[in-house]
Amino acid sequence: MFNTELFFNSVPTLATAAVVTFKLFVCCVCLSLMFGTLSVMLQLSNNRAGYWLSRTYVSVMRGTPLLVQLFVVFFGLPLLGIKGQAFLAAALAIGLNSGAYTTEILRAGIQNVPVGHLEAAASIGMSRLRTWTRVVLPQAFTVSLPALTNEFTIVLKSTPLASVVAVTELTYAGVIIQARAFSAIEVFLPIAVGYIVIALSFTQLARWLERRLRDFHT
Amino acid sequence: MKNDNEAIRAEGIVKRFGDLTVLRGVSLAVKRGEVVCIMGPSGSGKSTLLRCLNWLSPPTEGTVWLAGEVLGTQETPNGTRVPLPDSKLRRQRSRIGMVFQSFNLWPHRTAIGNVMEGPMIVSGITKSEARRLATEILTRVGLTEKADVYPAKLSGGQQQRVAIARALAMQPEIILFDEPTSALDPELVGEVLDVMKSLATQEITMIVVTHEVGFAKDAADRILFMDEGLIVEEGSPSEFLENPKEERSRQFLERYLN
Amino acid sequence: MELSIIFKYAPMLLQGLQLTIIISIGGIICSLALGSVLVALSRSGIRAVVILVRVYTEIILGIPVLVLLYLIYFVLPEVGIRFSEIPTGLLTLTLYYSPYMAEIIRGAINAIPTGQVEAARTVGMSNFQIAKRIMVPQALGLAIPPLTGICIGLVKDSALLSIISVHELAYQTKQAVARTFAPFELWAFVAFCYWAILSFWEVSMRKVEKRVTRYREIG
Repeated sequence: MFNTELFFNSVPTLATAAVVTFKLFVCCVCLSLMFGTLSVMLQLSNNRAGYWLSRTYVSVMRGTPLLVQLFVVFFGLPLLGIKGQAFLAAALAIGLNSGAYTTEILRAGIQNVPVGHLEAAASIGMSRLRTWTRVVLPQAFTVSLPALTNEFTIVLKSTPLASVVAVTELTYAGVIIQARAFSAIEVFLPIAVGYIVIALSFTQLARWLERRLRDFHT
Repeated sequence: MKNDNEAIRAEGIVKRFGDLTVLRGVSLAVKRGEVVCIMGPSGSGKSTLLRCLNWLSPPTEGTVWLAGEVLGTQETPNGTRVPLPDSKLRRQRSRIGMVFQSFNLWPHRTAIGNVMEGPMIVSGITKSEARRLATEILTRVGLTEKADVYPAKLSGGQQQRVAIARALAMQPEIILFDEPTSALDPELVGEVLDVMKSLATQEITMIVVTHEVGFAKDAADRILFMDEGLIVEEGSPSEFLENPKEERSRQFLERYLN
Repeated sequence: MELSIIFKYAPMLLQGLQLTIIISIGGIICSLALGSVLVALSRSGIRAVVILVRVYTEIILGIPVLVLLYLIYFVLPEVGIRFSEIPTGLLTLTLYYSPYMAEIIRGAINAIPTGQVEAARTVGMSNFQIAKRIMVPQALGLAIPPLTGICIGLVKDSALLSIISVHELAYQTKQAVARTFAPFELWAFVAFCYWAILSFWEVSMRKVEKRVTRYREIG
């Protein structure tokens, strides 16, 4: 049932594809943090337009399927003159999508920073910007680390979606091989195990971080 | 073991949790209309004893009789004792009221809803009858005007009075009180104790685990003092509170009287 | 935007929407049912069963939905288990979402203080009466917000079934796109539809939650 030869022959292709998945993952995480930070600062600024822009962004990203978002970006980019960039489209779509959840996570983290810390910063004469970069954000990121790790596990689990716009990441490589060899078990089983192992190590990391943070606070 | 005048009797109650023995053979008998206070340091097994008396946590060894009827178990034709079927146990439990330290009101029911629940669901009386009964009982605990309020909007003292009303509504043969005022702010203790004192004068059988020396003095017919899983001393309030025989009782009372 | 295109393909998209709704409701019901079974199994006290549920849960937490879909769609037929597209999709959503449903049910049940159940026992209520009158009414209020989140996730993931040619909304959109030269407009319109429906749902559930948990309000 399990054709070992087919499996070993697929290993090089799968390895190359795994590198693409990794690159995609890193890009998505960076974009997610970027969009998330930007959006949360807009949302907590005193600018009404910025607030509503951020709220709308979060609502739309959370209220539509990632697949649909991916197609919107994929077909939207050419209208901006960027053509044939499937990888970019996938990274952008997943990054934008995850950025909405990152916004929520960071907002919770920021609201967790005691007002007293802001007052303390003000009392020693720190500027607003300084207070943000030196007092608020470092604390917010630390508190949010477990939740962010969980969010990035979800990002990893979202990367297979890039296969629908023909980015040759791990899952799409699997589809290609099985279409050629008419046999799926040899590719999809190892792929599934790979995702599960990596995702679960992330989850463990998140749990460990959470424990560490609790110890830190008590 | 039939004694018409006896509300509840327990003999040789032992309760173990794993390696930990909390009760080491407790026996007691409470007459109809009697008010018994159980005192003792924390960890002495007072609350566990109450929970054995209504089978919330069945004792490891020993027997409890409720008005002469064995609680929680029944005899098979070949002479061994087995747990009572749930339906019969429930009927016995409904005859024993309980008031908890942390009130345990159902937050999704109003004050009167909490009182009506038992009569309606367990005794099976109609909703309007239950409402009439509950209104009357809420009057007895002085909460008529709070009938339609949810527990979240009641003070601790009011919640505990509703909990007492909930227990009364089942017209139990005995009510167990598990440190009913320990979770209350000092200024709310009085209103709950007043309700309990008035019950004590109404010939309601009560077993009260409490640290309130004043209540024990005024309302109890008898005080049991427990330590390390045993009843070490018992007597009338005047005997026990003014002239404790045991060293342990003396030490305990010194701490609580001052 | 070319509104005429959207009008032209509206009936086709509506058909897709209909199937999206049917599959979503089916998926929610099935995953809730399997989730309840998982909770019951993990409370059974049988060690092997408890561990099995735990392993299943961890696997699902780690696997991408799309990979699970491919496992069921491509791999299962190779070992002789074959479903047509819609059952494959329903099975995927059910298997994927039931551990999340189980977690919500478990959380809601655990959040009810044991003292309340004990109080119910002392007035003589049966287990069924306690479940129905004390636990469920409160658990419902606690479960609605996370449940809404998970259900929305399920509806969104149902769009993935377009990949295996289930004729739901995303698939119908793809078909419409193939016949026009307006992919961006169509996809943006469909995104708007999903967003409108899911946002409306979310807001309604928040109203329902408020109603169910009115008793918690203080003062």
